[in-house]
Amino acid sequence: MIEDHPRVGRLQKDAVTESIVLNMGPQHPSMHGVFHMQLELSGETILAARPVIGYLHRGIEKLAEHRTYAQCMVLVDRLDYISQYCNEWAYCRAIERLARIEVPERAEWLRTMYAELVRVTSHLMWFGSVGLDLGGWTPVIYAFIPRERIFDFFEATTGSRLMPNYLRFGGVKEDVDPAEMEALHAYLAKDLIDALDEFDGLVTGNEIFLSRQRGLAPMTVDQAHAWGVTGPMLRACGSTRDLRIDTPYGVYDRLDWESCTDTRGDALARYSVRMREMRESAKMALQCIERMPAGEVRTKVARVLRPPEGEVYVRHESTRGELGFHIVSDGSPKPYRFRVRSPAFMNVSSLPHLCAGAKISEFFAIFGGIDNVMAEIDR
Amino acid sequence: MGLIENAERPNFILTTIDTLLRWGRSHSLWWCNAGSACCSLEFAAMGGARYDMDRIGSGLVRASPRQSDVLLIPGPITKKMAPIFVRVYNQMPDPKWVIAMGSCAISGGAFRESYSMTRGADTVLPVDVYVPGCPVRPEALFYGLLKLRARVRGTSNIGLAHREPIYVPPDLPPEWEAEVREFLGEHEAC
Amino acid sequence: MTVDLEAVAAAHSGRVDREGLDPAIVVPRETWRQLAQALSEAGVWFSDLTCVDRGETVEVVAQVCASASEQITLKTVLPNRDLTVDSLWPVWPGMDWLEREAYDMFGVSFVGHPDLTRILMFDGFEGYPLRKSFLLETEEKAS
Repeated sequence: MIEDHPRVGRLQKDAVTESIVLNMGPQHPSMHGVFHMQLELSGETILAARPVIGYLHRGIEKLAEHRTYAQCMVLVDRLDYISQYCNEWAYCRAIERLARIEVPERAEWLRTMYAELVRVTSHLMWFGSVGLDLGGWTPVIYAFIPRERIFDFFEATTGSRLMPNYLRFGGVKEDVDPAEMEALHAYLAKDLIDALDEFDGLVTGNEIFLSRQRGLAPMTVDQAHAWGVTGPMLRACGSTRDLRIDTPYGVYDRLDWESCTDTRGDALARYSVRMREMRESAKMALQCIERMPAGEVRTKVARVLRPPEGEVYVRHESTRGELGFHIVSDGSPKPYRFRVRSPAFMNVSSLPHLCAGAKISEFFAIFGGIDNVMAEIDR
Repeated sequence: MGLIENAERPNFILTTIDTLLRWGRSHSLWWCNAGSACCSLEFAAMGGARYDMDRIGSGLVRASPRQSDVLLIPGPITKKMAPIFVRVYNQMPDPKWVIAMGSCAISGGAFRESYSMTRGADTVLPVDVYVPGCPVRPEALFYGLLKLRARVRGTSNIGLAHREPIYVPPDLPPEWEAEVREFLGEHEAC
Repeated sequence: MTVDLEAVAAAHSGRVDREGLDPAIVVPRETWRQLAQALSEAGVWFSDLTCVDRGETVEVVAQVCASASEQITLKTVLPNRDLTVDSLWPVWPGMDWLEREAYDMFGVSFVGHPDLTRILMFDGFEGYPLRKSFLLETEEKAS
């Protein structure tokens, strides 16, 4: 008997895999930005995970204390460069609430339209990178086609593809050319929906994709609340929390739409929520173009704004979840404290809980489903 | 390279090995994207359908620095990240080139005064191409890449100076900056 | 669901500050965790935790939500010479990274936190960047 051989017998007795520590990142092509993950592995199973962040920490909160309120808009753009308009809007809402600035009706409609358009482009980027994380190049190539088309609109109306600096305290920089809006309307009504249908055909029904996502990294509502998870990740667990409904701002209460939720709580549910959100956002942007009233887009605000002493915390539904701006003013032209509550920061902090016990090949599928932006996490 | 027609057989090419290598390299510049910030999105857009950098043979973003020719720095280099950039650079095989993309990588940009930032990529690595913009448009990066191709094609690789690698320990000693500067010499920040 | 702010504040020897845009419960640091525990048991979830440097003191500010639309600010004031306060990690596990960030940026020690290390800056970094006494290089040159 081979088991009786002294060497084989000893090997069987001691055949325990030692756990190893694997470092992933910070320079790693699958990582979304400079993210470092320490994984403790037993074979292929993840025993423990420890994210290491801060490789893109630029000190935005400190720099903002040395700039005037209007100059801070540049930094706000660069916080989450995939959903710029949502950031700008949240920051504007905080300052407008603090300084009691009224926003004209048309500006609210414009802001809502831009925020929903950017939600579409952000989710498209996420769609592409999820495909990339799972080893497929196709989604990212496809996702960039509608993304470029919407970027064309951004560029034509605000002057920049990525960093618009378009919102102002008390409105927006300038009105939009009606011809551009008309062209965008035609695009959103037909071509974008066709593109999304195509994506569904390519990926959503793919058996390999489904089997890699289904039941992966499940999360319950209570866990999500305890870990501070918000946004599409929270809605994928069955919660209906959506700040666009709970604390209405902009013109969301006048639009015909519904918040997308799912009850399964796994990676597939997160995927499904975001895919449906793109359609809802496109629908909202269409309604904005159709119903937008004419009028002023900007109220007169002092060039160097001095908000009264006090502090404000505004919560905003960004594409990744609850974006909070906590501004403390001492009456001077510069903020005394400029704090950003980043949704991706909180969502990523749930990663050690989500991937404990998973296989290492599943890690990227879990990580991709979080939809993180390192610039916003590290600030 | 010269094409000598009707010499012995048609399509007979006479060239030096050096020229052939340069020609081959310039058509297959593979990236090592240490992708950090906003500009890496525009880099991704360059790989997308509209700009399509595959057409000049630069479509491959390699997973390992050991398989790549061009190190792209598409964002700010923070003090925490700088030793890692140096390590990645040292792992790349010669000949290698560095592109600093965007104002953060060139000078620190909007975050220049910050406590956590280096004042540009050239305080850490020898940069070959600077592409300005905030963020850089894909066209601008494309232009920079074309310029780099011309340089790769025009520079002889025979007798290419061997660069001594510097070893940055993972636990980040306080003297890392001095070490990097000593290595770079003339690249010291102004 | 609404929380009776006055009763909660009184039970934790604090007061309710209604001068700002949102109501705030200010408690001494001894009852900081008990306050969070009581609120958590009443179904309140957290949104944010940060600090504000006021010169002589550092305020620890937490934003919590009693219902989807009802927002409450919790505050405790720490003197500069002794920046320690109980960690809220046992109450809300998601406070983990928020408290690490507050420690990294302000030097506030959270007692009972399982892993209080720097999160955004590297380990050898000296100073707490978001304190008002921490100057940027440009300021140092100017002064």
